[in-house]
Amino acid sequence: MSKEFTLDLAQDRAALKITKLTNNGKTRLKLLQMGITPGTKIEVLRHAPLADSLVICVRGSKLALRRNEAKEISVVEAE
Amino acid sequence: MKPPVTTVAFIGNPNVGKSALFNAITGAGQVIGNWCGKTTEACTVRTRYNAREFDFTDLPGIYGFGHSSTEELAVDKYLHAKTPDLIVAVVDALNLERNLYLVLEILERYEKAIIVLNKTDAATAHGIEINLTKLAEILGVPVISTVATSHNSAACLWQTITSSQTLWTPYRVNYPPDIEQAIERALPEQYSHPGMARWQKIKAVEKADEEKQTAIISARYAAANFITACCHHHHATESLTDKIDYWALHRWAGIPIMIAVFALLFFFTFTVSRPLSNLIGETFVYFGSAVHNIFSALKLPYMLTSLVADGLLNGIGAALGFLPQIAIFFLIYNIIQDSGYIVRVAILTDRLMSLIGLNGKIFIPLIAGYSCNVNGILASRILTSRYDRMVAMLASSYAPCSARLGVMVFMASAFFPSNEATLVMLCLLAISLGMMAVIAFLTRFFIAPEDSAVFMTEIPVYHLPHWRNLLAATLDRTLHFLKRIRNIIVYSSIIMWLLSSFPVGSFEQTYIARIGQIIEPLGSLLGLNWQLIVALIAGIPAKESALTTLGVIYNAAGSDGGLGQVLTSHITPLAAFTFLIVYMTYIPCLATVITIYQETKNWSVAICSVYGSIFLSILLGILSYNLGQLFL
Repeated sequence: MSKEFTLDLAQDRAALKITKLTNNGKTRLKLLQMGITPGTKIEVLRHAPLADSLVICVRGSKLALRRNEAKEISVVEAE
Repeated sequence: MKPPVTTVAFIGNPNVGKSALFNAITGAGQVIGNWCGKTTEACTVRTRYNAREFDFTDLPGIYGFGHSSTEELAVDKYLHAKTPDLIVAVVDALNLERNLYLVLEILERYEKAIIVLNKTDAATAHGIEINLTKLAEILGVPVISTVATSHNSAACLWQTITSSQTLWTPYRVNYPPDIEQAIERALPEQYSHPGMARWQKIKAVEKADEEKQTAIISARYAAANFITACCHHHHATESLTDKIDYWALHRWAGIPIMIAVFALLFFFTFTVSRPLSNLIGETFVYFGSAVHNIFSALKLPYMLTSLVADGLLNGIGAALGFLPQIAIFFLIYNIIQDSGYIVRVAILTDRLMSLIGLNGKIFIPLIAGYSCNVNGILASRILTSRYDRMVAMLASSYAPCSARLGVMVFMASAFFPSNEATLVMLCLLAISLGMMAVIAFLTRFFIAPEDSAVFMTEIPVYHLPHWRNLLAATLDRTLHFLKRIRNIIVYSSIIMWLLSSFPVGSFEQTYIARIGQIIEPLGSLLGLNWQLIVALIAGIPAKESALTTLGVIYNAAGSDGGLGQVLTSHITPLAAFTFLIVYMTYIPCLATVITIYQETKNWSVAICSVYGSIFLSILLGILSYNLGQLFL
């Protein structure tokens, strides 16, 4: 089992697996509804200019997240 | 006896082409009434088809049933008030798994749902194959595939809706044992009404416990994943979207590319629309002089001639001058929006906008305001949160529009040498940005910003906009604008004409001049004389009138140096600078104020924007004049 870290620290093109969400309330619900559920495999596609948002691919869809939203998503390297 | 009206609700994720399909199907029948409010709320159209009546309701786009956004609350409110007879769930074939999540939630609640797989043409182009028969078999409800822009789709959907042979055996999600137990128990313990349906119990469990909520949503997604795996095949290729986004969202090139796109947008808007606007203006001037000639030949009283020519025709000409700007701007803007680039702009500008507590989505209406404030307000429709919309509408009127920029550039170059004039213009633009930030800050006291903290956005694939949709959307905006302003323009041009023509005699004696003279003591705090104040008043219906009014007051036509030289001999550079600041920020033009009202259906917002901006502009004027006197 590789080390857990938060999504904002991920590199471009990294293949990851979500372990848990640490936020709550509306933000958490929105992330879950968009398919960011624990156990899901995601890929970081790129960091957008100024590195404030990152683009990920989850369940075949592309999403843009802010860095502070990504901070609350824990991930591990996918095998 | 008349058969009862069948109610059909359209539900789907945002941007799945739901509204286009809705328009196609309601347009295919005979429309007998519609109750469409603002775009973020439910829109119902009553249609007759084969002697049966249907109420179709287009609901805002949502990702799930919950309370995490304004749209979800609106959908919840609608469904709570009445249960539709039939649901049409519109699904984006390009994002099947995520869209199926909402479908599963719909099937949990309603038995009768038709799944419409949209954008199948784009999906095929992206190497995605979906087995419809298999999907329908698993989901237990009818599944049809459509291309929203084609006519066949509407016919096919009508046929499915009116078919009586459908067997409804909707798919049920299996939850883990501990969740099922919690759902069973939800009834006696937490809620005490016995008739509660299973989905209501599930919602109750979701609301009560965040861990269980995660498990429930995960279970639905696991089902969506399973179904997708059964009937979805994707030949992975690097798509055109990936190739474009490599540059469009590139770390270094992304922002310069965006600036270039907007530069092109404005360049085309101005170069194409300005000659057209001028042509409209000249035509009306020509009409005016024709009226003068004809009326005097007919020996009609001079006052009547002047009312028609100088009042009405003048005012209508000024208002119609807006049209080319709006039409051309929206034509190009719609290309940016429909192609999907607009989402990339929101991502690129998010960092910048978050500096003033806003998010990237609001950037687009604000930048649209620079072409014409009316454009900015109309573009605010893409925003769904109430706070964002309000900020965008109020703040975009601080963007100096092309009409104001014209006057500002003229004055700046008349009063300052070219280096300083550039500096003055940059300074004015910086002030306008600052004002937007102030508005964003002030609005927070009236409307709580909901989830401007949540930015997460779906990135759609690029697609080529359909020319028919582009033209329809552009025409719609332009005609709407015309319809909205026609009465007000007639009244306001008559009022302005009365104020500036009576009592007959020299200009200093007219009512408008007297009003200016009365306000002059206040103006002196800002270094503005009554002539400049009158110019400001004259600029209320249409901002560019300010300059022509100054020309009339200082009788520029009678002197030989032209307006610029006449002005510099009467006004100090500091007063001119202060005038420009006030001119840029005081009261949005009449068309803008009316548009604010039309979009919010709330006069107090429109009036607030008027008083607020007058107050802020006076404050800025006092600040600029007094600081200027200290340092110069």
